[in-house]
Amino acid sequence: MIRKLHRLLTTEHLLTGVSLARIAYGLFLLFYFISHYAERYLLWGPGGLLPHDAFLEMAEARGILTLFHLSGEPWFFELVYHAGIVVAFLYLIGYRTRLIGVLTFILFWSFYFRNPHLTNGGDNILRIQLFYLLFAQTGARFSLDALRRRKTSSPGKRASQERCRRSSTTPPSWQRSFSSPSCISPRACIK
Amino acid sequence: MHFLLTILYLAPDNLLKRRFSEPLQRYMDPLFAQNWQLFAPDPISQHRSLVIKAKYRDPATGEIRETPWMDITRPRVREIWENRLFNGSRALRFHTSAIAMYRSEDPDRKARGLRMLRRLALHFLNEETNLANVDKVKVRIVLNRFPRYPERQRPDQMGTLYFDETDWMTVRDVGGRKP
Repeated sequence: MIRKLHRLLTTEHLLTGVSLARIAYGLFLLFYFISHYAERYLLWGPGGLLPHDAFLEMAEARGILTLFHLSGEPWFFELVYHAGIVVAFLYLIGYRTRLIGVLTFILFWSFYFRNPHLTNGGDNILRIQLFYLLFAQTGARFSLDALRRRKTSSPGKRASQERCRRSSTTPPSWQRSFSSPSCISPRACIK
Repeated sequence: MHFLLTILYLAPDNLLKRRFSEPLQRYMDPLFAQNWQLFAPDPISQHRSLVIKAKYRDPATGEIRETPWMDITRPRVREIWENRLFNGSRALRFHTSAIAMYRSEDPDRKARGLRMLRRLALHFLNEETNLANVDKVKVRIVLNRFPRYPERQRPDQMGTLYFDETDWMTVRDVGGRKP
């Protein structure tokens, strides 16, 4: 049981699945920002359905911090909204997914709580999923990151990685103490 | 541990949940907060809509006049029927939230609901009418409890109507209404 749990927590699983989840969420976020573009001010703007002061009051009561705490100016709102579109696109194509994943979560969190009266159960699940995905390798497949990794590693190294991947079912004891999946990580094997 | 706490948080009301309600809430909210539960909700049994009227100063005579009731929910619903992808469904959700909050027993939620209703009314007057010099606005919540399942052949219009109306609310800052 402990061994199974240890394996579950220390080896990579379902990389294709989380990568597909990244693509699905990226598509949804792009649609989310683009489809609401015309009424963005009404829904989330400083003078919209939930004015900035009412938002601050609500956020303080729940102890929530968002990007919209930085400023209530219309130009700042525009900046965050357009950044949302760019970041959602980068998340979709898997560019620097670790960093962009964090930004995606912060942006969606900010919009979610900027006007929680507009949200539905799907937004709720997505907000939580984006947090969980921060701890997953969402850029492992179907991403620019994966493409870049393939290009930078030579054929010899790739063969070594493949050998390592095949022999990774029983990691040596010195590696078991690490929480990261060190054996099947190509870098650790090449060393 | 986290997932056990999540299960407890989403479980129906029980003794264990009540016993640890406060720490559980502190742990889950806001990062893991969820606004739904793992059990089927009650089916919808009524249509909810908002109608508003306004008092304004007639620019020609200077008299205070009153508009007829104007339905502000129906145009949004029609918009959704006509365009299922790019529509105003988010804004419509604000209508239902405002109604739910205004009808709450909690005075704080009710006050917030009232502010939301006022905001919706002002937005409608601003965007959909040519009225200037609006002085006061009033919102009426219309609940249509449509015929129950055994009478499902009857049209929804045959349902029983319930009304809940706010007092006249002053429009203080007419110039600042536009976002």
